[in-house]
Amino acid sequence: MNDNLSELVIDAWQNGVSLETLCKQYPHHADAIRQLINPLITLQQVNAPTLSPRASQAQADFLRLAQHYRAQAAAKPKQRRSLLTQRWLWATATIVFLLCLSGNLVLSASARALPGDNLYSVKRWSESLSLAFTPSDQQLAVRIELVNERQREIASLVALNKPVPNGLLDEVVNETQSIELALAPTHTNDPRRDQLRQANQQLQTTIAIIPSENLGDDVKHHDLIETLDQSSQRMVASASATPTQMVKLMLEPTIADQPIILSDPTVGPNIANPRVPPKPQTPTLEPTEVVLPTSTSTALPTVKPTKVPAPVVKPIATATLVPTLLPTSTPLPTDVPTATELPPVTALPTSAPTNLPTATENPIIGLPTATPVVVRNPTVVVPTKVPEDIKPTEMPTPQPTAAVPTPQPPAPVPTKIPEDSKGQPQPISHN
Amino acid sequence: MLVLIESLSDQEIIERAKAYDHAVLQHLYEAYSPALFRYIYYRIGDRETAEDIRADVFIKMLEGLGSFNYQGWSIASWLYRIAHDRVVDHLRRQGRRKQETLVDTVVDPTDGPDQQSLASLDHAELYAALQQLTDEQAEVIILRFLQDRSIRDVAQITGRSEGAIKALQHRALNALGRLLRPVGD
Repeated sequence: MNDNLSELVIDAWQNGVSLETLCKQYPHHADAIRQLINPLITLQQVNAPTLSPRASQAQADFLRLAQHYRAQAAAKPKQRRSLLTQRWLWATATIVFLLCLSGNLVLSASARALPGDNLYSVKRWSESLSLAFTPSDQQLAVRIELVNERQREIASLVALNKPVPNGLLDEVVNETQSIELALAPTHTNDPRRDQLRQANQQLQTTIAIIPSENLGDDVKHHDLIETLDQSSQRMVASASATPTQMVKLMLEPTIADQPIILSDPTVGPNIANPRVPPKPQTPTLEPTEVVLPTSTSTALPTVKPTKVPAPVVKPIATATLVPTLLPTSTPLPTDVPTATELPPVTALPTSAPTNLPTATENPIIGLPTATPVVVRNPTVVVPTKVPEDIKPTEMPTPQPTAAVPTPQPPAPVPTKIPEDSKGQPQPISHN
Repeated sequence: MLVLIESLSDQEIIERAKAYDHAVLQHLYEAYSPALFRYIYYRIGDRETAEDIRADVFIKMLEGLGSFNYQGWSIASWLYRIAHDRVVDHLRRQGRRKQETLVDTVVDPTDGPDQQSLASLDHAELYAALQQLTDEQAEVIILRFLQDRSIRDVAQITGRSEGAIKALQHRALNALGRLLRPVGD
């Protein structure tokens, strides 16, 4: 008997078919059917065990626990609904949304604010905030962009015929210089250098078109433009200089720190600001003005050769003063002709011409075509020392006084003077 | 009320039970508590322990109602499956109980003296015979012929196939026939 037949027989017996019927139906399996059904008959006669009285208590506990679960299940949806309907939650969300919306509107409106507007401080604050959160490697680019923004603001103020605050101009010029210093150690191919150079040029152009009545009393176009120009030139110089030279350039005092040169428009016509007319050259005997530009003299001749031709006049002036004074001193020997003390006398005329070669160098410098930028040429330093050595104003007076007491023979003088000093024949012919 | 609940399908009963309907839960408890007690009792042979495990089965039912999904399982099969796991766990920890405990605890206090004597004898013999079977065979005998569960239910409860249950049932009955005394002897 297989499992399926046994299951069939069991089902039949459980459905009321008697054991004898099943044995007759399956006579070949009669013994197996009896062995299968007899235990089932025995199991049917076993009285089922019943629960003890304490089972009712267990049922009560079960129902009480079910009620607790039901209460918990009923409480959960109420909590969710009450959370969604909380007024404070909606109010807080609305306030946060309005704050974000208004803040965004204010920031967008302040983007077009100009100096003097109410939202301009908000604009500057947002710029500072964004700059503070900018990575350090990108801050210079952002600062250059802010310089461009200042330039646009100044241009807008000029277009609207509004006064340009002095602080804004000073700030943007100082910021340009600061960025230039920060870019000095960078590679010459750094694109930020070109950006700063372009910003610098645009700024110069913008400042040049500011009407003078819209500028403060203590601010001049050419001062700012010159400062920016010097900054731009330093950028160019540092791009072509060796690292050591570049460091030297950065360590040396900037030209902006020399008010005599920078504030003096007599340097020459300014390309950046053609509206500023050059003042007429007045030769002065102050050599210190010429000494200062020697710091950047080596690089500049190649940059702007025709820019500053005016200072040429100064060396010429100092050079011409010396020869004009010398002839006045030569008549002195005519008063005291002593032959024995000729050597010291001859020393005097020779000393003057030998010192004069410094003056002969000056005309070479003074040629506009040869060394046009005398202000920044180191060779200009020489003339500054020449006047001190020559001291033209003092030369005539000591020479006569020193030569007078010494008796000089008149005879040797005429013979030597025509040889040494051509063009001074008057003393010779007089004797 | 009980009549109305009995007319509900298994799925409807489960849905109401998941809502912790008091009437449905009471019906389930009263309908399945005695059968679960007998199943547990024949498996472990100790009345008090069987009653404790039976109560624990219903608590487990309450805890699991929230995650119970109707997938063709009747709630009775689910309850027996809980009881099966609890019994297996109990037997694994305690080991098989001895026959002495059954003789002391199998007597139904509600029965009369004669009935108690007969029932004790039958229960003792039955339990002794079941102890001679394997656990799987004993469980199939209990579920199939003492609890009147179908082959499919037994397969679900024990986690076996219906074919395996039929084979187990055949071998268990043959073994039990050799162990139990013939009727009328």
